[in-house]
Amino acid sequence: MLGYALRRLALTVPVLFGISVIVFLVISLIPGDPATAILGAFATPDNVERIRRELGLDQPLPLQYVTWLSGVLEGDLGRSYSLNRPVVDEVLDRFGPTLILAGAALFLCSVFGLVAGVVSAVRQYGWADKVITVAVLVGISTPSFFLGIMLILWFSVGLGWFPTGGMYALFGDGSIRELLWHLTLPATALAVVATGVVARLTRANMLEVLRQDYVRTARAKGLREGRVIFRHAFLNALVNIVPIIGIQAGFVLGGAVYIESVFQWPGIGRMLVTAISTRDILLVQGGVLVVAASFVLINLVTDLIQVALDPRLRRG
Amino acid sequence: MAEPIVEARNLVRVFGGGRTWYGAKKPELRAVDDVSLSVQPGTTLGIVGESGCGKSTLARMLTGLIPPTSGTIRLEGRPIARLEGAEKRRFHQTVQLVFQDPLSSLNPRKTVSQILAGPLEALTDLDRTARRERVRALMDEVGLRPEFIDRYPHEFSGGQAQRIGIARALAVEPRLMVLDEPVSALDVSVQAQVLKLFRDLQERRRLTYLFISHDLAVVEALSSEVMVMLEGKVVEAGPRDRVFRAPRHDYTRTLLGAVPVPGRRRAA
Amino acid sequence: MAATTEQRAEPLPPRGSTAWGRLKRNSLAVVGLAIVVVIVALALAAPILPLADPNITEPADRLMPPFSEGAWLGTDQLGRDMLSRLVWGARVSIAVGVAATLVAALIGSTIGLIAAYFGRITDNVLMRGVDMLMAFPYLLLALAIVAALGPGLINALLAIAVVNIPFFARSVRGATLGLVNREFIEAARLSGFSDTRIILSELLPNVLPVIVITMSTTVGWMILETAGLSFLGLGAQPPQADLGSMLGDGRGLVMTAPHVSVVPGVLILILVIGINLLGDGLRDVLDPRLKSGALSRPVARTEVAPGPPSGSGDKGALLEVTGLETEFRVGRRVLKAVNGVDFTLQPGESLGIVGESGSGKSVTAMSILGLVPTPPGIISKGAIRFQGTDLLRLPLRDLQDIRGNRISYIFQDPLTTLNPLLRVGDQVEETLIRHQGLSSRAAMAQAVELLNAVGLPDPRTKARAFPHELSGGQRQRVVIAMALANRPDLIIADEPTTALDVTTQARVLDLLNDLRRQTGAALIFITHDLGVVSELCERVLVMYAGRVVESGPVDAVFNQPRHPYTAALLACVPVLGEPDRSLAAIPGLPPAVDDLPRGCAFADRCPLVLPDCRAREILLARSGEGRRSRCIRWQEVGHG
Repeated sequence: MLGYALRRLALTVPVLFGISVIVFLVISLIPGDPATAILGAFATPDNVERIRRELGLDQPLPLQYVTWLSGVLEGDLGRSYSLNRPVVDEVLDRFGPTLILAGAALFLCSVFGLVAGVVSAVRQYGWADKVITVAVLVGISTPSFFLGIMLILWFSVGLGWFPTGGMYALFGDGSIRELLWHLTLPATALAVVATGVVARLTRANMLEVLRQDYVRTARAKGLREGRVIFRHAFLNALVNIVPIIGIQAGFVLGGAVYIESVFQWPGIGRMLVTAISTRDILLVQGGVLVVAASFVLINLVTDLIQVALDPRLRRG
Repeated sequence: MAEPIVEARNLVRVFGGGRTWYGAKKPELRAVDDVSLSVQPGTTLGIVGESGCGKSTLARMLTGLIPPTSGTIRLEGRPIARLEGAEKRRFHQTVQLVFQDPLSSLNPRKTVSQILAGPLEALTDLDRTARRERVRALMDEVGLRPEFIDRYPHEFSGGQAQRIGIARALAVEPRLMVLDEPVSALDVSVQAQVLKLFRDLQERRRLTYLFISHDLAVVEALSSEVMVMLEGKVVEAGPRDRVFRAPRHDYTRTLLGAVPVPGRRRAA
Repeated sequence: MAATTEQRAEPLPPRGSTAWGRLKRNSLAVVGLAIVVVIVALALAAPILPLADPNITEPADRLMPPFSEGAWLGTDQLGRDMLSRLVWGARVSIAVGVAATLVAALIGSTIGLIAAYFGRITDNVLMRGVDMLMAFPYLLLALAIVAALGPGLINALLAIAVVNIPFFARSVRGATLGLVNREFIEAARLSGFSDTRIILSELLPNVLPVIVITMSTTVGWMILETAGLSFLGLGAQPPQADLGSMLGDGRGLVMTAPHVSVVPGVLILILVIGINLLGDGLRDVLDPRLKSGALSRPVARTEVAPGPPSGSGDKGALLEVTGLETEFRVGRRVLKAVNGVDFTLQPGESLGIVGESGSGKSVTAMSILGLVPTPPGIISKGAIRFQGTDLLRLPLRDLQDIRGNRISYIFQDPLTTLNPLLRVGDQVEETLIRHQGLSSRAAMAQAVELLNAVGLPDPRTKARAFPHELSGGQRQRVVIAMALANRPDLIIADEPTTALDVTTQARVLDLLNDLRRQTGAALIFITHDLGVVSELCERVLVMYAGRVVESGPVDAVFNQPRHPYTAALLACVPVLGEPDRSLAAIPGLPPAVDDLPRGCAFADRCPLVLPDCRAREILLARSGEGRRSRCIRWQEVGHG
C-alpha cells in the first residue's frame, strides 16, 4: 500500500507538468501581441518592455516555458498589473476562502448524495426512490448561479435568516459561528448539482452491485439484510463512488466561480472573473494553476482511498 | 506423403516482458513455447489442453491475427512473413477461423447477408449479384433457412449463430479452417448438430481442420491426429487412437482420467 | 473453459419493440421531449412570431412587472420586452449549447475511437492528453481559454467545447475497448477489412448509441455552462443576449425587480430539466443493459404469490417440493422457467438435476431458499417443505436462519461468488458468527480449520488472502468451506465445477463427495454434464422446458432411459473412448418458455410422437421401480 502510494505520488509529477504546459500555452492563445494584451490598460511602453523581458517573448516558445516554469518553481507567478502586487500573494490570500467554500460543498454533496443514493437503490420503485429521483433530476438541472440568486431572494431578502453575501460580518468578531452563518447559503448553492450527481451515481452503482453474485452469496449465507447491504453491497459500490466524488471536487472548484460572484465570497473564483474582465492574464494564469494543482492533490487522495478499499487495485 | 497444408516450426509467442520506462522488468508470459506442427490436407488435427495452455494463442498465430515472437509458419509450402497486399489476400483466402462465442463473433448491427458478404467484398472479385448468390448458397450449405437472410444476430439461438460464423469462414472457400472451441458455448443437443455439420463439410469439401478444444470427448470424435498442450508446450502428439488409448505422458493420462463419463461411478 | 452455463434469470428483452416505441412508453421522457420540442420550436420560430423587437429600449416603460399591458412577462431595466428577449435569448443559448456539443462530440469521439482501436502508443499519447484536460477543474480551463481569447460568445462556445472533449473521448474509448477485443473485430480482420473500414463499419455503428447518450447527457450542461459564462459577462456581449447574460443583467435588481432574473433563470431550469429527462429516456432505450430491465436490484427473497399453506406429505423426507412454479414477468411476457416440479429428497441422499440451458434446473434450485431474483422472478405456485416447514410461507427472518445453516449453496463461478473486497477467511468466519454466535476469535480459528479440511495449503495464510489472489480451484474450495461451515443438512451445488478445468474439476468433485459423506449431508447437484451426475449422484431428475421429464436411480436412467429426451440427450453427447459412434443430434430447439405447447414440450423433436402427445398434458407417471417418466410411450423408448 505504501509502495503504491509513493508510486501514485510520483505519477502526479507528469500531470502537474502537463498542467503547467497547458496553463502556459494559454498565453500563446492570445490574439495579437501578448504583452500589450496582458497589460491592457496598463500598457505603457516601459511596462511592455518589462513584461517582454520577464516572459522572454522574443525567445522561442519552449525557452519561454522554461523561464516561466523556473519562476513558478521559485514561487514567482509574475506581477498583477491591475492590482499592482505579486500574483502569488494575491492568489494565496484568496485560496483559503475558496477551500473553505469548496470543502463545505464537497462535504455536503458526499453526505447527502451517498445517503440519498443508497436509500433510493434499496427502496427501488418505492415512494422514497421516486421523491429522490425527482429531486435529483431538478438538482442536476439547476444553474447554480440562478439557485444562488434565489436563495438570497428567499432566505436573505425575504426571511432575513442569512446574510446576502461576504464571508464575515462587516463589524463582526470573525468567529467560526459567523463564518458558518455566512457559509450556509453559498455552500448549499454550490453543493446542489454535485449532490444530485453523487446521489444518482450512487444509486446506479448500488443497483449494479446488488445484482452481483457475491450479494446473492451473502444472502445465501443467511446474513441479515442490513449486513448484506452495508458490508457486501455498499462497500463494493463505494469503490466506484469515491472517484466520482473526486470528480465532483473539480465541478465544485469550478462552480465556485459563480457562487463567489453571486455571494461576494472573497475567493479565487471571484478574483478570476475580475481578472478576466480587466484582462489581467498573469493573475488568471496564477489562479488557474494553483486551483488545478490542488485538484490534482484531491484526486490523489481519492485514488488512495479507492485503493485502500479495493485490494485488487494494489497490484502493478 | 503429400505436402502439408500448414507447417509450423518452433513457434513462440511471448506476452508482456520488456521493461517499464523506469527500468523495472515487466512480467513475461510465454503463452506458446516452441511448438511445431504439420497438418496433411483433408485431415483434422485436434489440439487439447486446459485453460491457459496456449491453444487459443496458437490459433491466433496460425490465422495471422497475431504474429509469432519467433518461429516460422509455412502455408502450402509458402512461408508467411508480413501480411500485406496480395499476400494478405491469398493468406485469408486459404485460412479462416471459427470462433468460440458465436454471438460475440457477429457484429450485432449487421444482418446475416451483410456479415456473409463482408469477406466476399474484401477478398474476392465477385460482383454484387454473384455475392448475393454465394451468400444464399452458403446459408443453404450450413443449414440456415433462406428467410433468415436479413435478420440480425440477436434473433438467433447459439447454434444458429454458430452456423452463421461457420458460413462466414467458408465464404471465401478456404482450404484450412481453424476451429477455436467452436462448440463449447453450445448446449449438448445443439453441439451434436454443429459437430455433424463439421463432419459433413469436411467430407464434401475435403477441408482441413485444426480443431481446438478443452473437451477430450469432442476432440476424440472429430480428429485424426491429436496434440496435447500444457503451459505453452506440446507434451504429447500422435494419431488419435494411439494418444487416447495408449497415452505416453503423465499429463495426458491425468487428463483422460479426470473426464467424467456417463454410467461410470467415481470411486468413493 | 466450458462455457455451457445456464442462463441465470436474464430474460430476453421484449422483441419487436422499436426504440421509439420504448421511448414513448417512458412517460417522463415524453414530458422531457415535449418541453424540448416546445422551447426549441419557439426559439426557431422567433423571427416569425409576433414579438416586440428585443433590443428596442423604452426608458419610460422600464421594469414593468409581469402581466402588464402589452408586456406580459414585464420589461427589463431598459424597458425592453422580456418575452421577446426570452425567446431570442433561448435561441442563442440553445444554438450555442448544441454547437458546443457537436464540436466536442466530433473531436472527442474521434479521439476515443482511434485511441481504443490502435491502442499502445497512440492510446497512451491521446489519452494522457485527455487526462491533462481532465486534471483541470471543469470550468477553470474554460475560464482560462476565455481569458486568453477574450470575452465573447464564440470564444465561450469553443472553451466549453474543449473542456467537454474528455467526456466524449473517455466514454467512446471505454465503449470501443469493450468491442475491439470482441471476436467480430477479429473476424473482420480475417475478412481482409482495412483499419478504416473496421473503424467506420464495425466499430462506429456499435458505439453510436454511446455517443448519442453522451451528447444527450452533456448538452444540458453545455447550455448551463455557456449561460454561466454569459452570466459572468464573459459570453454573449451586448446587445446580443442569451439566457445567461439576461440573468446576469438582472441580478443587480433582485430586490427591486426579481422578475428580470427569475424569468430567464426559470426558463434555463425548465429547458435543462426537459433535456435531462429526454436524455435519461434515450439512455434507457439505447443502453442494452437497461433494456431488459436488468438494472432492477433483487430483493432479499423471491416474491411468492399468495396461496394456501400446504399440509405435509412425506413425514420422513428432508425436502419435499410439490407443484413448484417459478416464472419471470418481463413486461407483458411471462416466462415459465419452472412449470410444476415435484420431487422429494431423503436425508443424506444425493440427487442430480440435469438439463440444458433454460430447462429450469438452476431456477428450481434457487427457488428453494428464495434466491431467484425479484424482480422479475416470482414463485407463483407450489410448496417447498424442508423438515416439515414450508419455506415459501416462512417469515424472512426465519428463512435467513435456515440459509447457510441448515441448507447451503455452492454457486457456479467461484470468482464472482466471493466478495472481492473481503479476505476469504472473513467470508467463512462471517457465516459461523451469524449462525453459531461464535466470537470473532473462535470463528476465525474454526474458519482456518475448515479451510484446512477443504485442502487449502497453508490455511492460516490463505485465510488472509483476497479472492483474486487464489486460483479458480482454490476459490471453489473456499466456497465449499463456507457451505460446510455450519454442518448443513442439505447442500445445493449449482454447476459448481463448470467454470473449472477438468483436472481441477475432478479434484473438487472428489472433495465434495468425501466431505458430504463424512458429514451425512444430502446433496442436490445441478449440472448439464451427464458424466458428473453418474459419478456423484444416486438419483437423477432430467428437466426439459421447466418440467421434470424423467426421474429415477442414476444407473437405471442412464442405462435404460424411459423418456425420449433422456435417450436423445445420452445419444448426442460424445463419449470418451467411443469416438466412432454417430452423434445423433436432436433436431430443432427447445420451445420458448413464454409459449409452451399444451401437450408434451418435447413433441416437436420427438421420434416417438403421437397425435395424443400434443392433445393433452402428459403427466409424470411411474415407469418402473423408483422411476417416473413424463411420456406415454416410455415402454418403447430405446427399442426402436
